[in-house]
Amino acid sequence: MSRIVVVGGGWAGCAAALAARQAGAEDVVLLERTDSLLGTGQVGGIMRNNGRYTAAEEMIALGGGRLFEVCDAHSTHRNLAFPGHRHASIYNVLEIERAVKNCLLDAGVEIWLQARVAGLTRSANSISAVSLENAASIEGDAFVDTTGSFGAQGFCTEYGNGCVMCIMRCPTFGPRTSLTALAGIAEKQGQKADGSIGAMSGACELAKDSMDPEVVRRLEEQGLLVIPLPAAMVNEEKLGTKCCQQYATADYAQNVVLLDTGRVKLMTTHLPLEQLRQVPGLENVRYGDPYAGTVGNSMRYAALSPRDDRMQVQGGVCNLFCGGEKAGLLVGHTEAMVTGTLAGHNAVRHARGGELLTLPDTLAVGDAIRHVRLRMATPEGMREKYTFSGAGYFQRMQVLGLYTTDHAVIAQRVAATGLAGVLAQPVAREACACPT
Amino acid sequence: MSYMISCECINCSACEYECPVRAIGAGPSQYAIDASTCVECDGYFTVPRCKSVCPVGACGPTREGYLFKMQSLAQRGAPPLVLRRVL
Repeated sequence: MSRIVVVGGGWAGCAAALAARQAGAEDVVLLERTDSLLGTGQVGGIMRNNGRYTAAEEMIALGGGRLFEVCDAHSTHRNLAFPGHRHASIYNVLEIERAVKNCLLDAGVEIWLQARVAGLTRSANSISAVSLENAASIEGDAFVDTTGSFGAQGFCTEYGNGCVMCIMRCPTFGPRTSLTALAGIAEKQGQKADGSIGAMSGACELAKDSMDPEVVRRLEEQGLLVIPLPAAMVNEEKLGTKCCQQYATADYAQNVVLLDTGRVKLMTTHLPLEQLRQVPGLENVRYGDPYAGTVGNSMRYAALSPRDDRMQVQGGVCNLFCGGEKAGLLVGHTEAMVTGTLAGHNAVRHARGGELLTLPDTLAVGDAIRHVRLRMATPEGMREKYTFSGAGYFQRMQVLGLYTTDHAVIAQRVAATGLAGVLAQPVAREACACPT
Repeated sequence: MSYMISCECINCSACEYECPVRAIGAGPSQYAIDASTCVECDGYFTVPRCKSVCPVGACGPTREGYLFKMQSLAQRGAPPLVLRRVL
């Protein structure tokens, strides 16, 4: 009986848990600190923009596409173009968490909410159990660290503008925890271009019912609105602080860019409420998230795990895998789902004594995993952010000829690797290779 | 003796302005009480002000031990919620 324990129920953890069930693990437990899944995915929504389209289709062809299909099924808008981005789909943030939860439960994942991991039990080279704050102990054969890299409050204060009461809700559910750190493994921190630590989350949510109904109607119809800011309010310097470099062009500094996600997504790190209220139609607007969007946003990339291209965490334990932001300076739900899926799949391969899977670099998803690891070994690389949807990595995809929206080309590309559907096939049991 | 602020501090700064002897200030990642200045509100208030305004209960007397003060949600009455399909 293989039991896989996934710590952290954001997009990466959900993807890992689902992948572990699809790989045939009998018992998959997903531990989430807050009262709901998806973390920042609940205030997100942007999928399939630019190179993420390619990544989504590659994952579907590899057999790891179920969560992408859930997002597609719950999209408020499809094939949307907004500054710097083409053919985006936007999932409905009000529907997505329930849909993902049901998908996981239907697949046989056991979900624990309000279950913050406070400790672990280990032998010399493997983890045997994690323990919760209430001292409950949960054993496992392999573990996945998908705890993310935001905050907690001390980090947001030291490197940002303080705790802004965001969707992560650290004061309520306890600060972010890290399985990698609990295992005594040193983590890296991401940097901005100027070398300062961390990066600020790049978007806020506005309360739809506090906006002018005509503005809301246009937004819901078109999926996006770009409203020019009064000249006195433009602040281009702010763009350098964002983690989401794909939304850091001048368009975003000179305009208020709104996307319809079911709620209203404002594509900026933060904006003083009094300034936001000078925008026509937003005279009475209020922040939905973060509550303190006037002063700042949550800070990310506080703690990244050293890992190899099979998502196995390096540094002393053999049965720990990582996905999502733990896996590197990768930005986005798509990126989290890719790395999380591979981590969950390989956790099962490890538990069954088999050889781990590496995604080949003839695929964008394989190339990204390897490329980001290599870049993060350099000081300059630690100052960049990587995403299929823009900045340096999307450029790389285009140069290498990996970017395409042609489903037939992508299916062919995946078939050529011999790995079509591999992530949906149960993994055979081998004699255990790893001594515990 | 003195009160102290645990790592649950969310940097809201409410305590700083409440302290009658101005013993509290912002530290590098959280607020902190100067142990040599704090008088535990003796002679000022019956209940120490910082403890009464702290929204997350991070302020307490050191003699209680802040490690025991790290109450989990389970102890506050919110145990883990386990979800699974019954097939």
